[in-house]
Amino acid sequence: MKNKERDLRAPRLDRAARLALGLVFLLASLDKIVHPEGFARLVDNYHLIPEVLVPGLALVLPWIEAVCGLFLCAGSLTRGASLTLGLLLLVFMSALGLNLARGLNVDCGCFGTAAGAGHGLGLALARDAVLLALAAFVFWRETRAGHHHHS
Amino acid sequence: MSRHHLHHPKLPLQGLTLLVLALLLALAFNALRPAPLPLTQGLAPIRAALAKAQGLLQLSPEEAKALLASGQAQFIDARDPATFKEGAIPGALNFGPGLTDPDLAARATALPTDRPLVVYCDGLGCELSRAMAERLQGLGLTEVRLLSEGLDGWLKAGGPLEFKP
Repeated sequence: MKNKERDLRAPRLDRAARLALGLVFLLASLDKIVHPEGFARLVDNYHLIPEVLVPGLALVLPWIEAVCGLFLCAGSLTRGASLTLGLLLLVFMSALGLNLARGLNVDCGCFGTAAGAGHGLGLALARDAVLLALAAFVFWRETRAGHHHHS
Repeated sequence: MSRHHLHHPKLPLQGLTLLVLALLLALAFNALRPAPLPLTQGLAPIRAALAKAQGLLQLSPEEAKALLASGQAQFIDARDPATFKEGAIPGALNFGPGLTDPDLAARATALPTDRPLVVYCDGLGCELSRAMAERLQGLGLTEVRLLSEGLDGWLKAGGPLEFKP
């Protein structure tokens, strides 16, 4: 019984996945933390939330990414961090998907040339899907790991 | 089991811990910045700060109206040609988002260099004017201005429209 459980564990793979997810979000957050004004404008470009809420969201969002990324790398609170990042990715993907769908019959011309913008959104959506799979994997492995705590 | 709980707080608690930590760090770092991000005033001050950092002077609708009346400025409409035809600031040239770099460079040579170029699009939520203003600056034009409230602000201020049949 013990042996069977041990066979299913792959601590190196788990650690690699955890570090990869953590590093991606940590690195992704840095530029947004340094340039909150620019990030606020990007958030606003999605036209999904009221303008009053944009600055606050633009300020906190990168820190959520950074904190979760940091804890994943450190191997602490890993379940909460991977779950939080997974939920964030779902939100990002919804936002991207909504604007991709909008972009197909865009009439305000707010996003420049629709073809180029659509391409970028599609790529971002695919990238987020890969990250979501990674986050789900990490969450699953960390939950399975149970009391085998990372040092 | 107790050891398990010691090392792994329950999931909601983990999430809450991370979120609170993120919120506190965000607020703390914002307070420490030389120019903290204003959080409750919407995007107007942020847009102004960005434009200032890029050397893009922003005009109010009133300032733009005065420029139009004096004939000192060239207005540039950054929206697509179809929208432009439905009504634009009198005398404005249409530099739409579909312009390729070579086309834009060719057309920009005809623009005045000694008078303000006032770029606009729909309104506050519209990024086309800023994008076009930056492209024009990239071509070496220095007198570029942004009508930051766009046509929305222009019409609210009673600015005239010209239809292009």
